[in-house]
Amino acid sequence: MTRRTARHRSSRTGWFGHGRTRALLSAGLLLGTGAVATSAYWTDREVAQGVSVRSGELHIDLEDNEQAKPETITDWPDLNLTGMADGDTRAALMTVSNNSIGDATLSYGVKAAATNPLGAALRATVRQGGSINAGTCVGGSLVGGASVPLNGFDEAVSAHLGPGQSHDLCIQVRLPSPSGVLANATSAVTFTFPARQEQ
Amino acid sequence: MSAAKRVAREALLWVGGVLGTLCLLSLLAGWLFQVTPLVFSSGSMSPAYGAGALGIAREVPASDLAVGDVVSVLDARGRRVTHRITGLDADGGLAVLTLRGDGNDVADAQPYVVREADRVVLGVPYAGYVLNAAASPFGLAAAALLVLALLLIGFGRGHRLVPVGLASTVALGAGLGASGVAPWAFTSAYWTDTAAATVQATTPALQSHAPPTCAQSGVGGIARLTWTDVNDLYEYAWSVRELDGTPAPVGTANPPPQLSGVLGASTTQGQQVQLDIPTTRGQGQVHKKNFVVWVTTRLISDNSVTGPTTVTPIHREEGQGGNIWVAYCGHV
Repeated sequence: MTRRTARHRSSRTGWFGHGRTRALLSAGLLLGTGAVATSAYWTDREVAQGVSVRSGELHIDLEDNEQAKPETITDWPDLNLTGMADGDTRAALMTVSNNSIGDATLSYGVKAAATNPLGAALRATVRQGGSINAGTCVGGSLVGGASVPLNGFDEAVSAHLGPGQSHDLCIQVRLPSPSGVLANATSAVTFTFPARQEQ
Repeated sequence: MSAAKRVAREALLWVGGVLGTLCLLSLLAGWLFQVTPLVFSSGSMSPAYGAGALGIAREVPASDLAVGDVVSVLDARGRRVTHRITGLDADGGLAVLTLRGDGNDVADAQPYVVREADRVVLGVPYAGYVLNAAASPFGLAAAALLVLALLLIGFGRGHRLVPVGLASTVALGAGLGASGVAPWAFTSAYWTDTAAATVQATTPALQSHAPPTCAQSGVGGIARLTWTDVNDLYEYAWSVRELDGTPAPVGTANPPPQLSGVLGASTTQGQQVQLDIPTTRGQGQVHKKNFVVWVTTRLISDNSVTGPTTVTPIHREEGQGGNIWVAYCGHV
């Protein structure tokens, strides 16, 4: 049997049938996958780890709640803000958990809003992993600034929550002295914990 | 060469050639038509685009976007996010987009300001897994081996261009990826959730002082009124008055005694506020009788009154020296 060369075949099957042409074109595969891999590595290392979450639901939960949606703890009993006189400080621990379905790691933040002149006067301090000592939050790592205006508080917690993990957030609220807030003042204070999937 | 070998060789060349051509064509299409194949790495856009789907996105100007479009944009940290537009605020050539994953109850926390965006026009379920696998270290190694084999088949073992070609292909691919000009992209369609807690904050209710206690304990046994300071925010206005409420006469002393004033602004909450009723001087008919002491609690900040005025009875008797009128507790 005579050895047929690629040249013989090319005359029959056109330019793409040429062995060397296909060999050269196949390099496009390496070029393309290499470009995708490098691009993914440079732009987002987490994404480049792979497509892992197929289905599921993200659940950030407070206190003992399990996959509550929508989730609002009305009149959070741990934080007592009634009868706040000038100079008063109150603090409470909030447990934040990642109870997501599927192995999702989440990042989250703390937002706070408060109505009325009393709300405008209140100051907040949030410490992740902190504890309460003599009515104030100590230890842990500060989330945002210390004793910053509560209304409009919007800070990200730097540590992410892995699947099944939880954090204790120490939340401290202070009415500075003098506050200029009249007696019998009220304010609706809301803490919100927005979460997004990271992996 | 045997027939089986020849068939295998041809098959390899065809598979490699077609795959390579597809890669090159998608690169070209991406550059020529601003088309970006997107691999969904998370699933908040399911079922339209589940995790592992391959979406085809085309870059359009902000003015072409509409609520309901699925767009791929970069977030504040430069990460690519693909979610559906739920709110759009056009401003000239810019648009402020509110995005939300179809499977999310809450919109993305941050709005996105864009001049143009990649609008997803087509989705192929699971196809993204193929691209993801190809871009994995194992996929890259397999592609390198395949290409090496094909180059050797096509050009022969002794050809000097084979290793050079392989190395330059790898370098070019890495360069394209690192420079960001490769049109393919991985995108997050991340899940979101939110939880909230509410608390009612209040300040103490308006307070007023308890009725003062009167005792003959001032200098020379004059009437001394005492009461407890109810709050640091408060002070107390007092005055000595006739029974009908008109101010009591101050008499002839020079300077005249203070028969009204304000006390307690600097008293600490819970401590006693103390008022000694001043002695008056003058003809007896306007002094030797019953009087009352009014005490009113008010806010230091704006002097607004916070409770009822207390009325404490006193009377005056002549002290030593004549025409000197000392206050005593109660009426006679």
